[in-house]
Amino acid sequence: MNQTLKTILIRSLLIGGGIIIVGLGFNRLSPRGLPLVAAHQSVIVQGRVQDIPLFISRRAAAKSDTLAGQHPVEEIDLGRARQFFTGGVAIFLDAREFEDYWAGHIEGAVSVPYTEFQDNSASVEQLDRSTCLVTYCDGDECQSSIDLAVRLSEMGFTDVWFYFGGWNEWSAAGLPIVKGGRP
Amino acid sequence: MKSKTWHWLELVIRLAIGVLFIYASADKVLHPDKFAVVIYNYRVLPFELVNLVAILVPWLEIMIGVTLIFGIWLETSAFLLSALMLGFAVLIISAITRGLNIECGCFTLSESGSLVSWRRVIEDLGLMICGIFILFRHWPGRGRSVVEKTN
Repeated sequence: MNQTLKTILIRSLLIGGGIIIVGLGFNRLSPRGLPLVAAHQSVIVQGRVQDIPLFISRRAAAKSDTLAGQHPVEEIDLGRARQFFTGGVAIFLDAREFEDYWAGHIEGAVSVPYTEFQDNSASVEQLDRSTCLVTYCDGDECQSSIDLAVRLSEMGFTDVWFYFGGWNEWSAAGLPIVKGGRP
Repeated sequence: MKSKTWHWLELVIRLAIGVLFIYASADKVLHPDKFAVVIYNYRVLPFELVNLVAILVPWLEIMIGVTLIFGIWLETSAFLLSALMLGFAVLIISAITRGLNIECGCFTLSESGSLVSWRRVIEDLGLMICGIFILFRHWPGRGRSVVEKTN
């Protein structure tokens, strides 16, 4: 009994060691290899610093480090969002699911559900990287506007903002909204 | 059942699980970044540890798969299989009870309909029972492995 447990323990440790050597070795050589500790980007949300982890390969991280240093992703409040809106230069990106977008969104906003964006970013691929982009979701408990903004910054967009007040604040303020629309 | 039937049953289970594990880990080895996001979404590990787990867990699955197929150190690989499946089941249950509607990351990545669910828990527990079955058959002192050697 004890002998068997000992055997299992020793062999498990050996297998564990093998996994560490092979796994880390493969990760080192693979072009999609990850850094051992995920990179992260700090963003300021309502005065509090939040670390958004970036689960991207070493190569992509090396590229985005330089970008993130130059163009931090920043929050805007309702006043700034309104200025961006009336200025007409910014594209508003709705990070919520399409059903929420369909039920009502900021006028002129484009639906870019964050859950789908993680797998397929084609919807913004053709945009000029200097385009001014403002992301938003519901507000308060909603994180995807921030996550989307950070991912856009990773992709090389240099003028990215997130409007944390989001749909709730915008619609409560009686600002222009539209219902329906295409995905 | 005759011992020969048990023998074949065990072989079929080992091969099936071995192939399943190697298949399940391939996607994760090739897309560690996606797997890392899946792990992070369970909100159990601090993000500093997520990448390390995303790198190593698929290789543990491959190792279990290979040892099951080739019959190497079966008591150990069956033990690791059972422990891993129990761990996954607990993780999925905790995600369900916390109301997380996240991708399971069980067999493939980013396949629609592979969200955490009780079905996944039952699958994992089923695999755990298979592991215990193999472990039981290869527990020394039960005579089976001795018999096999003399065959």
